[in-house]
Amino acid sequence: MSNATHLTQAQISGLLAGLATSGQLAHVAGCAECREEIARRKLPLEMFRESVQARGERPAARTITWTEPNRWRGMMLRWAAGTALALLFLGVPLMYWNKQVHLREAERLREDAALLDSVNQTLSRSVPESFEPLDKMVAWSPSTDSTSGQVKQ
Amino acid sequence: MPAGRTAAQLLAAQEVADFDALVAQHRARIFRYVLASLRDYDAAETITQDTFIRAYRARDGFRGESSVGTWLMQIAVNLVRSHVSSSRWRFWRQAERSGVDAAEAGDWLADRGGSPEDTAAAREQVAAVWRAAESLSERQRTVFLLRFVEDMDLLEIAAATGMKEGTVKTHLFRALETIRTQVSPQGNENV
Repeated sequence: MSNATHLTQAQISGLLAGLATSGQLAHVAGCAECREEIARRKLPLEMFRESVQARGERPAARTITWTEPNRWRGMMLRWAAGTALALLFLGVPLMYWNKQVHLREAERLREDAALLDSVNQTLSRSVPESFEPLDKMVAWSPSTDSTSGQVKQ
Repeated sequence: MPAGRTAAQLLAAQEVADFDALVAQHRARIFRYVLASLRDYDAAETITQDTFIRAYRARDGFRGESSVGTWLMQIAVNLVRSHVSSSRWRFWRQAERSGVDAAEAGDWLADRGGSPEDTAAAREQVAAVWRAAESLSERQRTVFLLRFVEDMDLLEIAAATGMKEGTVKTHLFRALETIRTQVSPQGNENV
């Protein structure tokens, strides 16, 4: 590349991006005009960097303080979350099971009460159940002693 | 010296071990990059904090394959990337309350000792670069900021962004071309 053929603006962009060929680099090394043009292109970028750096060095609007994460607190939070989940998974079936137990207990009490009633009825009978029709027939006759079966005189 | 680890890797691992010093040394740089990427003070502060929290949690896994600065920047780049994609470029809108105004960014420029006209022109150019950066794609802006604000070399940028060096160059070239068309260097109208 001769000195008469200066780098185009796109070629300067390529040079700044690291895409320059060895011929372009050699040209720039010997061409003051191109070096000046490259410096002109770099100037706004350098001022941009200055402005960003100036802002970065100012105190932050919200102070950022580095504090090491509390491992114990994190661990406790994880344990608490784990316990809550365990309670949820165990608690719901437990509550269901407990309800079933109560229902079975109530059913058993009803059955016991019914059985007790049945027993009481059985015990309160004067004669066994199979004799009851006969007993009624005997009890119906006004001249018959229901207990002895003898005709009253 | 543990087998398979170079002196540089051991030094980097030691640097990570003193985390308070590491934060003090790198915080401003990370904040600067995130602020320039998002143009939002609050988001920049939050992401800067998140960068160090993530680094702290991952410090045991850091083996010193890259410098600490590059490692931290890699975390910040990923956080910015996910933040931008999650907020769908919301942070580049002027409506953001804590957003950086391009004109305000020009005011951050230190007095360069020229005439008032030169100073005004310089501030306008800085503001124009800020505005031009706004129009870049996320990847173009990232490589542009890492190269021209953080002064990272191309290999460092490749490591921080996970791109190939050639891809970094391509994005940088496109970013520079976009900025060139939107910013006129001082005293040069033929850009």
